[in-house]
Amino acid sequence: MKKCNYCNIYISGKRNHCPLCNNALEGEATSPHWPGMKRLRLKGFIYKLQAFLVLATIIICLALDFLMDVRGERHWSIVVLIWGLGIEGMVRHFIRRRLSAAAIITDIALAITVLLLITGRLLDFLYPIATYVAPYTIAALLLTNLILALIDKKGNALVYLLGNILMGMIPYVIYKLMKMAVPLSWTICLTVSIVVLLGICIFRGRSVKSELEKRLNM
Amino acid sequence: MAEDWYRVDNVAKVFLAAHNNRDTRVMRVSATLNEEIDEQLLNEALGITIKSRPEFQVRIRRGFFWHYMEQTDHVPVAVKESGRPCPILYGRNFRGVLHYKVSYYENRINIDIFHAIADGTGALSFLKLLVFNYLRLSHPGELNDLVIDSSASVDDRYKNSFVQFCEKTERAIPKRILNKKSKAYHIQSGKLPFDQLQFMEVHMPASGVLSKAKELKVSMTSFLGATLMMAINADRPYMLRSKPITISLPVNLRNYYPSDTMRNFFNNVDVTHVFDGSETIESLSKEFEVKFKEKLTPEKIQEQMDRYQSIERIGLTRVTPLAIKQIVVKAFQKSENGRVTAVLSNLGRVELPEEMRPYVKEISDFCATNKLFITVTSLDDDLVLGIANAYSNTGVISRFISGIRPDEGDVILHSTEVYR
Repeated sequence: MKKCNYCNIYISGKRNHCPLCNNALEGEATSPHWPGMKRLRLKGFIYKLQAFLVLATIIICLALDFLMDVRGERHWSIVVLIWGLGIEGMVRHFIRRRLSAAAIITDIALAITVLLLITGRLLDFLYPIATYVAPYTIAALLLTNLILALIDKKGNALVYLLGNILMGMIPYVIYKLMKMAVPLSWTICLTVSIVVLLGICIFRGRSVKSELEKRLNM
Repeated sequence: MAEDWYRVDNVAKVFLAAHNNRDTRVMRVSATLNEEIDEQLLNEALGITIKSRPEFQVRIRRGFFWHYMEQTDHVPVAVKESGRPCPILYGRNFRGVLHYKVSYYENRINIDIFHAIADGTGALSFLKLLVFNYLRLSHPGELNDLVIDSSASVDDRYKNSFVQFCEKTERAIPKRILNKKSKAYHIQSGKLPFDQLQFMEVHMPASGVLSKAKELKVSMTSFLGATLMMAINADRPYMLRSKPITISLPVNLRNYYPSDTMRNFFNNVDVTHVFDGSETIESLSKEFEVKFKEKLTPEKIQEQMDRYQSIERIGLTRVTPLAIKQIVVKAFQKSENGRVTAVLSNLGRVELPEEMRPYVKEISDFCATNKLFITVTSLDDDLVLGIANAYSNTGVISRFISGIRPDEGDVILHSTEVYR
């Protein structure tokens, strides 16, 4: 085994310098005590490449819009910025963790809906997004999550479904509290939420009770 | 029978809030055998061990108000060791299912466990049972008469002993929590880049270290703690010498209460000293012992436990959403960390049945940290220091080892490579 004569300590492995005082070691190398540390797994090249392309695109668009005055009536580059950052955020979110199908579908659907709402607000077409796209997206998500919750007995699908049900009901309640006319689409979404809630209670009532007990324990 | 879900204990709540890429809040316990590990046998042994230790087969989930753990029947697989000790086993960057990992390298079996599901005692118990089951498979007929499994019931092993032994039920924020404590000295060194930790395993004769402690008429823990303080003091710039040095020592509460839980059941005791320049190792060791023992009385231990438990019972705490609680706990933990210079955890002697002894060469352990964490274990006459160091400066470690090493006997060091 190699030895550091300054520290008077035997050092295993193949290193040439003492890890404590950095002086040169003498003696014969031994097999390493730990397996070789792989190169630090910095984020992969493909991820870096796509991040660079997206962010470069955003900067070019902002430059064209604000600095070179290549624009129409509105600052269109803001929309590019929001979508670019939104997509980057989603990519990071999905590659970091192991997510269930329910989580992936829900997160994508909600992220796109929110991005569309913001875009609609910026480009003056918020009404169709809020009245048609959002409620029907949530309704479709509810049906998808219902199927996933019925299949997936061990994972998180049930809690996503319960969250979705709330999402389907809350806008209707807000409209009513603000004494506004509720669009038909949100009424349909509410109906779908109640039907899905009924379905999951009938087919997996005990699991729903247990899940609520676990998630809401104080 | 055990339920299929459990509330997370008091200490685990902190780990769940305060973990990060460097300080993963994972501990590693390892056993080096006198034979090369067979992967297939290890996996078989793991399957047998998990049946007796279902408390490790849990997934941590987020509730609206608190985290909880639920049973899972995900099958663990022992793999060849790769990457750093104490890897990420929970959180945003974790892609697995179970919050523990079994790996092997040459003659060594490792278990990395996220600290929220067990403490050092629980982890060592799991390791001993795994090694025992492995040896029974690799040496058929030789250990058949030996029984080492815990006689505790499954419910006892799952129990949250903090709740079980908490005495006071007052629901106010304890004053001692809010009292200002001064910030401790922090080792003046940059941290290793890329969230790395340097792990060092140091072996030396336990009898030699113990005789040094006995000469000073103090316990091993006090001797080690005082030497660590001296090492830190010698390393720091002069103008910072008025700042207190605080060593945090985890204390196993099973020594005070009759608990068989495999979950966390420990509290940290902080020993603080402000150097005036006149200290010697003799005087400091004795002072360390006095301060340490002052905090180890049953009354103080009970008071500390009650203090932390009572926070959970406050109505406002209960109804606050988890997302907000996490932020508060993280901030509180950061503040508490500012009051600690380094951590020293003495896990003590590892007792193995005589029948197993010829097969096991060494036991060692580490715990991830964001500063300096030293664990101390011994198996027969082999004292093992498991050092996890976040700093690029190794001067404190070098002085510490020089201070405790016995006059006779070799000191052997194994160290991981780091990028600087």
